[in-house]
Amino acid sequence: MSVEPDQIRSALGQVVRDRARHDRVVADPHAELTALGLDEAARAGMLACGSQRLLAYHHMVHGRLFKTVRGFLGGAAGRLGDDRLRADLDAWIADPGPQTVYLRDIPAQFLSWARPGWDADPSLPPWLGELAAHQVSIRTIRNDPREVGPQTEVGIELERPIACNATVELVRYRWAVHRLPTKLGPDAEPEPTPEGQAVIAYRHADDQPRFVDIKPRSAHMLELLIAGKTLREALFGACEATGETLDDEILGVTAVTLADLIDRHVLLGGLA
Amino acid sequence: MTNMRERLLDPSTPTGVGLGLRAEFMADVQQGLANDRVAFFEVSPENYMNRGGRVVRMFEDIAARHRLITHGLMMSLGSIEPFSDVYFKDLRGFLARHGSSWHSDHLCFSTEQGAVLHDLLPLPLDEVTATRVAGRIREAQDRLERPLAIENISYYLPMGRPQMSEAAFMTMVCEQADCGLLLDVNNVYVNSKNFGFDVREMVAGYPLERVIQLHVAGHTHWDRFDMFLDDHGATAEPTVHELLAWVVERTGPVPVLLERDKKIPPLAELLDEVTALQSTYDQALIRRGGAGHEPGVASVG
Repeated sequence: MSVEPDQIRSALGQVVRDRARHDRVVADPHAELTALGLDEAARAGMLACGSQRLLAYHHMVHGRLFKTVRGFLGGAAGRLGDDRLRADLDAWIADPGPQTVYLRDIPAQFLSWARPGWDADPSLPPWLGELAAHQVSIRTIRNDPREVGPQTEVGIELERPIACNATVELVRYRWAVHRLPTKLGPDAEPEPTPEGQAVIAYRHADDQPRFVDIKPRSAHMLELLIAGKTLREALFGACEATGETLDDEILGVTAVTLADLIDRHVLLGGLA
Repeated sequence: MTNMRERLLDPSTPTGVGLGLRAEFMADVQQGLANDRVAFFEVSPENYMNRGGRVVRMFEDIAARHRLITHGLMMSLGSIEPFSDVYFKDLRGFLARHGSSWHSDHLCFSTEQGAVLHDLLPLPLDEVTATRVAGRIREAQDRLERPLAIENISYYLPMGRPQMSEAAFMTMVCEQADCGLLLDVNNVYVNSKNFGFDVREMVAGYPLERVIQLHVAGHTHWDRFDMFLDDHGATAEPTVHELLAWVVERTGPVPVLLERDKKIPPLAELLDEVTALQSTYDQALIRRGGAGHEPGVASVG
């Protein structure tokens, strides 16, 4: 009884994914292929050109994914170090592995798996996971399929919602990782974020990702505007969240903030 | 015997030598630096599907001014997992806007137990696999509501003890699926170097009546594993020109793609290589005419 073709296909797939299997192939290729269910004929065929050819596939797959993830993580990858990144990536590829056909989405998938471990690891800077998430978000924003949209050229009204740039997200970083330089020096450390402050992350009409600090009350207001609330609802809701009473000073600051957000293409103007 | 070119190539099909569109030179193409220098651009839908921003806008601009042929990377026709409904929905949408009369992907597998490995992994060359994959290709054609052409891949490892040659395997798959063949002559050449067979004999064994497109590229030697790697990282070798010419003499006008994915030179250098390949292609068509072959589909490239 010969081995089913799917067993041969699966054997290659498992050696490609699993670093431990790779290492066992290095040590004893026949034993590992036997463990994968291949009979003598299948093993002989697969190893006819040497086990190096089998291992090459493992290196091609892991190398491509490593290069992609490292590139997206930027300075966070540098601080983490290649050895740790490679080890974590190897573990992730083995289980659960990439679930997307889009190579550009792989770093975010990997990070959502790896970050809890990084955040809990006292040997790593506590802000490293956040920096990695920020670095990945730069590409995510750049490639966001949602349209930025033009300015509406319509005046804003208190009783109506305001049109928002569809790519806008409000991010609450614990550290000001968005202010770190692109080339991260060995001693670089982000400042803690002031209480309640948030960051507006979005793609501008010029296609570039932007990150803008926003103070607590304005952040709450923007959050409610993004959710489709009217300007009045957003304004009162923001004051409630910060424990403030709406007064002329807040109204004045809000008018300036709204103008600034429209100027920055975060808000697009009144709804037609 | 069915001639797939008569079924799939029509007067709007670009023939002659085109170039794979890459991010590295999209801006140059957008500025018109490739105008009248290439018959078409080949694009991978996965690079633009479910994506927005500058790259997609550049692509849309290029698509409006150049003829395109689509070539996918991630269909994983050889896998055993069910196809992704979301992927096919996105792909159908893309092809509705930018597709030609067929779409192509690779005869390989790319997923293992749900993980998407982003590589073109080889299949066992046997009848059971051919029949199973042919069924998947028929399903993919039904889902896309358009014909598929299947590309032969370069591979570095025998998948068990092969029951047949790569050409015989491809023939069996194409016949059972009734699909087209995207013949990558560089891939056959790389395989011949890695496995020591006669490349001309192997190319001749492919079902040439089903060829609707050709791929050409260069390759390099991977010293670490002592094998030739199909990395599209060099200019096409003279042998690839010879194989291209040999096939075109037998098929007549078809789209021919130059692929370049590594060590990408300036666009001007790539266009010079396109011109050199076009010369090879044109001479092959002249020889074909002189030999009294039946005329193929008229070239508009």
